[in-house]
Amino acid sequence: MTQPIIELFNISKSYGTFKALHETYLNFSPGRVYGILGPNGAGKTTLVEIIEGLRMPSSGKVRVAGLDPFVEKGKINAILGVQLQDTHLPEDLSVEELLKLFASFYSKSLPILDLLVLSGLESSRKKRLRFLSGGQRQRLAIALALISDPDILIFDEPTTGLDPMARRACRDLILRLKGMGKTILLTTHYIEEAEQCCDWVMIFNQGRLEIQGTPGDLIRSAGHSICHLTFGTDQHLDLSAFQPFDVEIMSFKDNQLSFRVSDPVGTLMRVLQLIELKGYTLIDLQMKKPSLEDVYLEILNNTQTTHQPEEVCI
Amino acid sequence: MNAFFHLTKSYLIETLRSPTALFWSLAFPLVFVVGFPYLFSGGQSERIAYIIPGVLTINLIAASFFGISLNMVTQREKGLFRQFRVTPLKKHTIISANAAHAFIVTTLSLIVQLVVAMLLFGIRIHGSWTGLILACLFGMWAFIPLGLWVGSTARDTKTAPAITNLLFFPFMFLSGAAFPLFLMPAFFQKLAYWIPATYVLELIQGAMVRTFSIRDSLGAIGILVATGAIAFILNALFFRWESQQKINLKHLVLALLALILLYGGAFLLKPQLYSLVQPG
Repeated sequence: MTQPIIELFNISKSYGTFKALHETYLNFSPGRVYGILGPNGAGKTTLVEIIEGLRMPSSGKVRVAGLDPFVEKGKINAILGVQLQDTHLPEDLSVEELLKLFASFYSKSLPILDLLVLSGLESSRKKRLRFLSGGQRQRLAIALALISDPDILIFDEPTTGLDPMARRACRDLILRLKGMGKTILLTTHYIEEAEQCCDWVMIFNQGRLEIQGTPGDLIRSAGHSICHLTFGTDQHLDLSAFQPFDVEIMSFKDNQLSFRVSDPVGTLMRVLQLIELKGYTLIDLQMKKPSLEDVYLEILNNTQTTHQPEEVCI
Repeated sequence: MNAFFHLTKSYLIETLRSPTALFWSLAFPLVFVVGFPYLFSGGQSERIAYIIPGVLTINLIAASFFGISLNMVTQREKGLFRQFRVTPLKKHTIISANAAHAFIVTTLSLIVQLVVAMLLFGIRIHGSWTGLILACLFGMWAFIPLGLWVGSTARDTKTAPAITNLLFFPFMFLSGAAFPLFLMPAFFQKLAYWIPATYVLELIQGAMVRTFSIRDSLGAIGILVATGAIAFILNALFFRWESQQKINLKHLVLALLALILLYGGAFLLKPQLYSLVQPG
């Protein structure tokens, strides 16, 4: 078994009486891409900032490549590449000047031209930061994180607030880095991004790790399919007639009935018999496996009811 | 060293590309260079020669407190230091690069002011050029780290101007830079020994209007050198990567104690201050 490159033992973080991160144990293996998902305030940024050594945990210990980020911060900074959630750089320096500046902080660095090519910023090398688009800024932030060619990269919401084109460019860059064998920790609000880029996904809510696994495992763990039945107009559907079947009705809107079903084939046969019996006009039938987004939303809905939100005291 | 060089260069490029920064650091001080002599000299060239060293002192402390300290707080508040914190860049490199940038900009500003004063009012250096250069160097050595320290201590851009004003105005008026010391009541003349700007004015005035001698200026030089050394140490102790980081109160007490001891010593020893004597 591969030795974990990042280890978290019983890590927690509180701000006054507000617990931002509950006791968490996590291991990160080298060469994998980890997606850290969760709504705002779930504890994603707190978690990555503890690993970066920016935020002291209230309890527990962290090891990054065997080093304590709070004791050997200098060594940690040399082996980690970090893109912070909010990147602030001097607005009047050009892309090339910023890359050269950050390269001077490290004992070894990648050639500036390689970084420009990798991040797709060759044509903007002379542009000052203030004239870059949101997407270009984020790619520059990622290029700055890559400057020392680190093995571990932490990207904190790199695509938040970007338009779809810019998001795709960022995602392609992350996939290229994945192909280079980097260990990447990626926090994101975009589930499809995690599904496409990540080998392993962790879903946090209210400071707790709710579930983790490969995207495929998480989808399989949901253990059900989703059916969408579209009926003809002016149908007076008796929803109670569907209750005896093993279905969980999600919605009935615009003549479309959506429900979850754990035994899709058997249940669907009986549902179709019912439709024929009742004389309903069925126009369309779609059945699909749940996406990671469905799993994510289900977990959040379930945990919303089990955990009472805590009050923030400032 | 490479990081220090690149960071200093980046700060300079930013200043050169910012018309606002250029205006406040190079053009605005000229308002005082031109305005003070017109307002207070009554057209007498001897008085102008006496006023200009005061103006240079005021502009030097203004550059340190308003320019440097606010720049430091802004960088921290905007998150630039946080950005640096996830790289191997050390805090002493950031402090040194900010100091070097401030030193270059303030030197340029003082040169421009001096040239304008010479061209406009026919100011001549009666002491020595070497003395004037040394006076400005010792002044910057003491005041630039003091400005950086204020920037490290102030919590944010709201509190920084308050601290800056609290220091700047007493420094300007009680040092004799804005109003001649020899015309002040005895109590304020004694208070002048507690003000760092007094010794900058003493050196600049000495080099510009009197016969400058290192031996006569040793007291003022010693105090400014010690002030700069203490202020650099304080910067290392007080530097904060993020505004939320708390200041160590013990350090603050130690800092104030060190400065009180230094200036208390100056008050007791009373080094020669020619600015207390009315010019013949």
